[in-house]
Amino acid sequence: MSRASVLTFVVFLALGLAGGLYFGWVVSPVQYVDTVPFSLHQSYKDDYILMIAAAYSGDGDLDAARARLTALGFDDPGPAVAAAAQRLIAADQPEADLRRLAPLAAALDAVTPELQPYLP
Amino acid sequence: MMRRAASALFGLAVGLGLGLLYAWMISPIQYTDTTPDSLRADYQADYIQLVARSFAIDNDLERAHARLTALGEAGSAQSVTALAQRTAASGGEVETVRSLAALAAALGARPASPTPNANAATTELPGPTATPEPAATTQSTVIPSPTAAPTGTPAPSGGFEFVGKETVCDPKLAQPLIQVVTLSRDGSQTPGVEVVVEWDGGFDHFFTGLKPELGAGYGDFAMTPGLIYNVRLAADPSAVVTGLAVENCADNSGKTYPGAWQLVFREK
Repeated sequence: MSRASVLTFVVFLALGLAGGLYFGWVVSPVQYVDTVPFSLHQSYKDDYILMIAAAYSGDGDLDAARARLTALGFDDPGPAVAAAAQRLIAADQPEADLRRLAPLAAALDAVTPELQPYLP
Repeated sequence: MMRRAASALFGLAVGLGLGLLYAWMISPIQYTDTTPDSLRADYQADYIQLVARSFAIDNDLERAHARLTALGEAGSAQSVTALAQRTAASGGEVETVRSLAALAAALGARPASPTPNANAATTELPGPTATPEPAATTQSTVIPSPTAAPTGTPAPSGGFEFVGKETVCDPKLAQPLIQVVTLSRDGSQTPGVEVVVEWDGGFDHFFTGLKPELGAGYGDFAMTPGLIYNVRLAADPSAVVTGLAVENCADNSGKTYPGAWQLVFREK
């Protein structure tokens, strides 16, 4: 193989590589259509937790709440609920929301000092 | 020259292959910050149930609508209705069906807004009773307007009383129906009320509000000629109607066709 052929091979290898990456990442990237709640953006996760807390405030079913939190990817859901509550406090979310989150955090033994005022 | 062209082609092919291998297999784009519309169907159903449960608690329709909008087409009012029907048909929790029915009814009564969902094509899924829609004119004679906005507190606290029944003659009905309308104390329609239908040798149940296009408190059941039905509300056994059988109607030419019974219950 001549030197020119090797150079041509390398140049076109690089071009092909670049083209492959462009096609694979930009033109036709891997599509995720059947995702799990764990992959949701943090803001959606927090809202999901808030909805779980609302459901818990209505039915008091801690097992169901725990199962849903596990589906969100939280093996230890208590701290996750407390952390979501902290973010909602920091974001000045309505007090009613925090009053729903606090009992769920309490039921999961994860009440923080900041959440204390929102407990019944 | 031929050799260089072959090298170029070979290099391009190998490079392309390696690039795709890296982009698709070794380091594909990671979706870690997804939105609810990409959730698997069963998680989307769970998400809708949570939205409905939350709505039953906070009564915030705008918030529920915003949450459902994040689901795209799967969050349309029709999808909520279909989920309520599927949940009821599969014997799901009464509270879940009730909250879904209330949310579906509230979304149906909500003024249309230019959201991506508003014009989305939806798929009509089969409900527990695939019955034809009664004519709107028949509805308007007895049932208060479906636009009477339902609230997010679907579970009626008190019992119900039977207000009245009448035969509905509508030739468009393909089969005889028991139509039930449940009203709150103020006269607006109440969704999510469980209705039990019993006959000799069997019984079934359905919920009001699962056909919000016919009214937030409307539900129906297909009758079989020859059977006698008793209808009661699960929430209040004293609200009962007995001895319902298929009643025939006649058109102008004297030709008979099966009519429907319309029963109205009101919260005490």
